[in-house]
Amino acid sequence: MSRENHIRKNKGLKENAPRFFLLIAFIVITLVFQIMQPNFLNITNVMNLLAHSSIIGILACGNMILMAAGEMSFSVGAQCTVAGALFGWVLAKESSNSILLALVFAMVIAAMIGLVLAFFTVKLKVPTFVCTLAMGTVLDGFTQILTGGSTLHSSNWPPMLTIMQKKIGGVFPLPIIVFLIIAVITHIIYEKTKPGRHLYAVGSNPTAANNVGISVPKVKVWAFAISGTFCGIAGVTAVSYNNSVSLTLGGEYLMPAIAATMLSATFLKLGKYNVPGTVLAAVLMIVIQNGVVNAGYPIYVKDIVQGILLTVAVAIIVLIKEDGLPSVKLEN
Amino acid sequence: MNMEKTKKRSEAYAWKERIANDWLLLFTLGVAVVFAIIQPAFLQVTNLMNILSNACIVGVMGLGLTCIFATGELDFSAGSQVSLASCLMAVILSKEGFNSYFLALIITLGIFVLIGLYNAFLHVKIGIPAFIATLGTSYLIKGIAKSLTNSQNLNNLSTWPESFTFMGQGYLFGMIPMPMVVLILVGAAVLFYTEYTRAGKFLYAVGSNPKACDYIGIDGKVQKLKGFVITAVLCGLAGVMEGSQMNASSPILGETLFVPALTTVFLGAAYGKIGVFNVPGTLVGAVLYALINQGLLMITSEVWIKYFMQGGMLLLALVMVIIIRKKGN
Repeated sequence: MSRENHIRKNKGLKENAPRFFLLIAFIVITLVFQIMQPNFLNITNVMNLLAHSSIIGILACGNMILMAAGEMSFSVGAQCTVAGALFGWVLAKESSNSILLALVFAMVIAAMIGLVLAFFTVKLKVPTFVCTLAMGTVLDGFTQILTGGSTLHSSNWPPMLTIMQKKIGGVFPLPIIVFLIIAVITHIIYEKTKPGRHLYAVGSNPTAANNVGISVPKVKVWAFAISGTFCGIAGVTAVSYNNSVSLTLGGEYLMPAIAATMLSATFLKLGKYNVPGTVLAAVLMIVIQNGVVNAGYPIYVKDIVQGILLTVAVAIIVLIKEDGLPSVKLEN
Repeated sequence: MNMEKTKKRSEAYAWKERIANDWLLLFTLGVAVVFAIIQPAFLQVTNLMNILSNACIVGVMGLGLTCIFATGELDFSAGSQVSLASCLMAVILSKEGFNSYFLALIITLGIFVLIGLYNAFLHVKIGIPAFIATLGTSYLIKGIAKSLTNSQNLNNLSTWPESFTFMGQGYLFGMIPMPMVVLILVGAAVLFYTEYTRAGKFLYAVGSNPKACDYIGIDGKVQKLKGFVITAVLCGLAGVMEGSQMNASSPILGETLFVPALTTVFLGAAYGKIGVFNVPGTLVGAVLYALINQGLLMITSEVWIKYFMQGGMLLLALVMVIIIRKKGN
């Protein structure tokens, strides 16, 4: 018993320091901002931060499912925007003001976009990275049509539309609740259930997964559909929170969401994308952005900090862990 | 009699093969004819020259990407590299008392060699997957580009020398557009390097079978390093041309060129050496892209058509490449 503990301890320092790198970085960065501007951590700003990070977080959760299955999407931003635009477009019509119907409509289309992507990548075996980049551009075109090329806001929108601006108990903005629910469900499914383990198996070793009887294409199709739906949820949440559909709605969130997913693989379970890491990284991304802007620095500091953070974090996993990340390949 | 038949058949077969090989070129010509019928002004010399100059910037960028794709890796930071190059040139030349355009060009390209080395360091030395490494780099470069120009666009500064616009708008001997000269020179150099030298062929060798290369003593790491450096330098050159053509520099303008450049590379894989990223293919792809882009602009000004066209063409190119490879196997 004591010997085991001893061994564990010895291993602990070397293994644990990188495992908590993300958390340490998070605390250090937050403290730096707090020192620079004393009211960085007041309740209004924190809640504001969390509400913004919820949208990135939902996107990142969807993206994580996809990346866990060994695929990669560059169209999550465009998918998010187009779903939001659809939602706004349907509600802007004279005859339709059932918010539920619009929601269902946007979700179904969002899931179908995921299926189209799955058709290209799983069925036709087009390299995912380029295919999603192309699809993202096409979807941006659809957004242009739906919004008429400018920020969409309609007087026909029912007042219910801004439900996400409400605060539960006067403190917690609703997007945070949505985000928490989605994160918890994703976490449970991914870590505790069979489909979740299949997802991980397919991503980390497709051949082995195939050999033990998991249908690899089927899992990937599901991953695409779920990630599409999550993009839809993020889009609708963002539209509801902002009370408008901006053309760059999802585009702004694309890189932070992808970075958050990548960073999650450096937290707790090295080399495995996971939900707690994704949540932490999503909040961190917004902390950096908000902190930089609030401190009066030009916005480019954000780009540089995020870039260095991404590189350092991934470099740490790669250096510590031999097999590293489920790497994203150009060719199938 | 019989022999004649076989000969005829083989001739027919050769024709079919020719068409299969050159379909991209034929398609490009076809597109040009269609546009010319819809809009006769399309065939004016100025318009055609315009199209070719547009093709040049994307083409130079595509040539760079071809080199890194040949090694089986990719450089996601290409778009932001283009922006950085335009900003670097603008800022260096806006310094008082510094107006040697040539020297500024050398400094910029020198910095881009360093960027290529940085990417290669992250991927080859540390072992981060190229995709994530260059994603991080793209953030970093974007940030640096914005910091150089303070997140603004610089337009036609008075301190810029006259020669600033030469690379993008000038004419060599008064008739050949300068971007085209650059494209032809760069294209010839890269073509010669990748097709006719041992060192260049190693790039493809590493891309198609890294393990075999290891066995026969080709160091994959060196090849990838070369790939990254060539890509960075050519993206830098593309950025210099872009800045010169617009007579401006912007820290975000390069990113809109990334999807077009990818499109040209993938279209290129469907021409010449089928299924392989290659230089002549990339050049034809760049021309086709510029042709459709400019043609659509002449017919309509709807923004969404541009998006559909960009994304749709990339998808089409991808599917073509996949189908061709499947048939090849």
